[in-house]
Amino acid sequence: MRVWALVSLTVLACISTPRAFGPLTLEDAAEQSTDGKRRTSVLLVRDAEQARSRGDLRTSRALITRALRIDGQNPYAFVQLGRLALEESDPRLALVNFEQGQLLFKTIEPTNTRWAARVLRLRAEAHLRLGEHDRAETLKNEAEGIAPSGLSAGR
Amino acid sequence: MRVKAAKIIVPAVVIALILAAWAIVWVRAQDTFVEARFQGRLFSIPSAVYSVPFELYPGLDVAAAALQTRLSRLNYHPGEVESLSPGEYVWQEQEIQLGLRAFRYPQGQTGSRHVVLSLNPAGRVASIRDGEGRSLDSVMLEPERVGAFHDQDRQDRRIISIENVPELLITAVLAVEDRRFYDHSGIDFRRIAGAFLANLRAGRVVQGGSTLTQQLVKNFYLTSERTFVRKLREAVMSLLLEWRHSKPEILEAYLNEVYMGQRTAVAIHGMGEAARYYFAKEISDLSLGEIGLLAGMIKGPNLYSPKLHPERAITRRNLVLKLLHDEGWVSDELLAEASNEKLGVRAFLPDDNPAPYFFDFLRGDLVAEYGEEILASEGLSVFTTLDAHAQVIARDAVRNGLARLEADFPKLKRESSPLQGAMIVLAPRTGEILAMVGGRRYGQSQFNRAVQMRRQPGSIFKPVVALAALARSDDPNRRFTLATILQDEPLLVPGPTGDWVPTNYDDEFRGSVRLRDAIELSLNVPVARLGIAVGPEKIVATARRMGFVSPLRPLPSLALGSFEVALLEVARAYAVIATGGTVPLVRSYQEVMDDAGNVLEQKQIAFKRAFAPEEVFLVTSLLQGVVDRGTGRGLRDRGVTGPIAGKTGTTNGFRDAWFVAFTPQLLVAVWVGFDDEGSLGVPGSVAALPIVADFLHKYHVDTSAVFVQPSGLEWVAIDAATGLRGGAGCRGELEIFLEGTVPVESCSGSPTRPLDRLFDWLMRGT
Repeated sequence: MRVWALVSLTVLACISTPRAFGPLTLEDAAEQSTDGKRRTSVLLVRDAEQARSRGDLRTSRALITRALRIDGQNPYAFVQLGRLALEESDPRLALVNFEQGQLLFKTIEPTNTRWAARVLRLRAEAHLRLGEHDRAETLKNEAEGIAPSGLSAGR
Repeated sequence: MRVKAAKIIVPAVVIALILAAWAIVWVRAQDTFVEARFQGRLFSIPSAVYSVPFELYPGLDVAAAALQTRLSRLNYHPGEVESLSPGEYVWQEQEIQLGLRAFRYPQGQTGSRHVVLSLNPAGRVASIRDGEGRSLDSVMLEPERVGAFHDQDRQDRRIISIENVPELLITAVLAVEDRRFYDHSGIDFRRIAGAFLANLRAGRVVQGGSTLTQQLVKNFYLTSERTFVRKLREAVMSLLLEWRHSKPEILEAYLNEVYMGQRTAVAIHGMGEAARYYFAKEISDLSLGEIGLLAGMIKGPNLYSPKLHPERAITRRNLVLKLLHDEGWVSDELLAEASNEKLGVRAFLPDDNPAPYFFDFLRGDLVAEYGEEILASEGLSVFTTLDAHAQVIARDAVRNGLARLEADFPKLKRESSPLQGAMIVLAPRTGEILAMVGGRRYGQSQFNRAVQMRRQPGSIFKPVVALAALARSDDPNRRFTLATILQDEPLLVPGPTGDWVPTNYDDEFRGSVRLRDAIELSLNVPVARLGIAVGPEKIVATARRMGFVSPLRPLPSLALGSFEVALLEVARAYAVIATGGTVPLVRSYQEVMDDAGNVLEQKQIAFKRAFAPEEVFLVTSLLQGVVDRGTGRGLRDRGVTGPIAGKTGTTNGFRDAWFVAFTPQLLVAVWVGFDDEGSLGVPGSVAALPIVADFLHKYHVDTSAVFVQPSGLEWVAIDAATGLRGGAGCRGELEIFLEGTVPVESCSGSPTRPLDRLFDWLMRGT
């Protein structure tokens, strides 16, 4: 009886806890893509992120431009553009890009909750930079509801 | 006697001293003159303008992407697998081997390399490998040089460094121009004596005595006049140059200065530019035959031009090769091989600058940033957004479309002020201008109708009215949906300058029509009524948010496009719809790099959110309907498939014909009309739409991308006659609404029932 109760509780816990779906990294996102155009475009975004991480924003921007020339509906590219804008202290431009990315994720990769949550957190960060704390908090909570921060970490 | 001698000697000495002093001053002056130019920037270097590089990646459809055409435009030639050189390719059924050229991108120099594209049976790139078999994610085909900004001298020059010049080219140049270059000090007296004797024997000038240094001085500092003073200055300046500078410095300057021929009105100077112009190669990639030809051409660049006189050029080349062979620089085998080499000259492109109007537009942007002088002299590299392949298709689509119109409607054919057209192709997601056609023939008219001309937009403006109407409003009297019923009945609007009486294109009235039908069929009267109901001020505000900058007056006739705007404004406004409500920063260039490889400027992809995505999606849906059922269905009739939206436009008296179409990735806007505003007699669907269709066909627009439907929208079955929800006995058709704006009332007279909701859900599923 106790075993059954334990199993039931575990199953219940698994069902009720939000789980993150979707690629953990850009590399994974590229690998999971069946479309060559999207795959190449995401790999360029991966390179752009690497360039951004080492502070080479110019190369990063050039790589995103290449990515979008190949696939103008690549949500990862817009997220990356938003990150660049945040890095360059332009939270408003960042927000437009994050929203664009979010819109594309919702429609093109609706099951990708991991990235949907990430974009929400990035949007929250942009709002924080604009001093809009309440909006930022709402977005963070929304992100937690979709995929808890521990599960959506990574780039 | 002494006194007498003193009387002669003293003045002579004084005169000699004066002459010596004058000579010193004069030589000093020459030295200053020589150094003033030689120390600074030696040459004015035009700024080069490049197209967008073409991306090769797995999944690319090589036929649809017109890879072969793109390679031809870049002057790639068929080669051999075993000896593939940069600028060559081998095209096989399942594989394409490419010898990519070296290129200096703003992100760094790439070397020339061998890549292999494996193709799958569908003709798509399956994988990309380098020469060593390593897998590559993607590679860029170098951009095409589409033009340059020159100063008034109109010289094309590519500066090369002496370290990068092949040793054999230097040897060949010295062998034919100045054998004792490393032995003399600027003047070669043995050579002068030899030339004097040879000319004396021949009775005419058959040999020159000038050293390479003298040639440089003459070309660089002096004129070609044949006077003693000029010759004296040349000799002195040559000695000074040799005294001040090393042999390699002088040789480098010479190799960059030497005149190498003519490309229409532009002079080709220097070996770097000659290598690019004649062979589309970097100087380091030249073959032995090409080296021989370039060295031989110095004597008479036009006389021995491989483009103008190929036979003569081969004879001259082989003479130089034999010289190299005789002096032991080239083996028997190499001589035989190079002497039989084809000239390998870059094919004549009928129009080296496919985008003259774009070029003018770009110049405007760049001059504002850098100034005319810097553009013409500092050797900048401008990386534009232009897709050279798209540009050629756009240019031809406009030319062919206008010619076809003239053939179909002979009254449109005029000798003076002929029928004109303009086209803009945009990538709405990045704001990049991919192609721009400002008129039919740049040679006949440089007026850029895509940018400089303002004309009435007519019905092409109706989506602005629709967006103003469909956007959420706090005013309950100004809430419209695509199912809102409008009255298509006679309308008279009194105004200060007279009554305004709009009519439909067919002079018919249809009674009650849905907003969707009014736009899809481009009905003027119901849209005029809608404009009045929405309010002209709101329409002006909406137009401004969409990026219209031309003067707009809040008059009732505004809804029918009664003011004047530019094609570029129209394209940008439609890009707002294509991107789901963001105004893109429209750009003609991406990066500017100086001649040392430093990036001076990089434009970023930037947007401004102007409208909620769901509000804009209603307009996208509307414009998809225009193409599927309405005035733009000619696009479907011409075989254009996939998700596409568009709108026709025709102004009063058929003075202007417009058509704008967009997919999620690409936007094409076309105008057709006369400069003097004469009547076309045909609407936009006849004059402008076929041009867009032609472009879309030939450019092989990607039809896999879909318009992204945002959240906050719902599809509901609507009764077409009443605009009410479908119900029992009046099922209707699906319509899209902003959440919360769906009609509550059902056409069956009863409120919405669960069964109706189930019906909506089922219809959506289809």
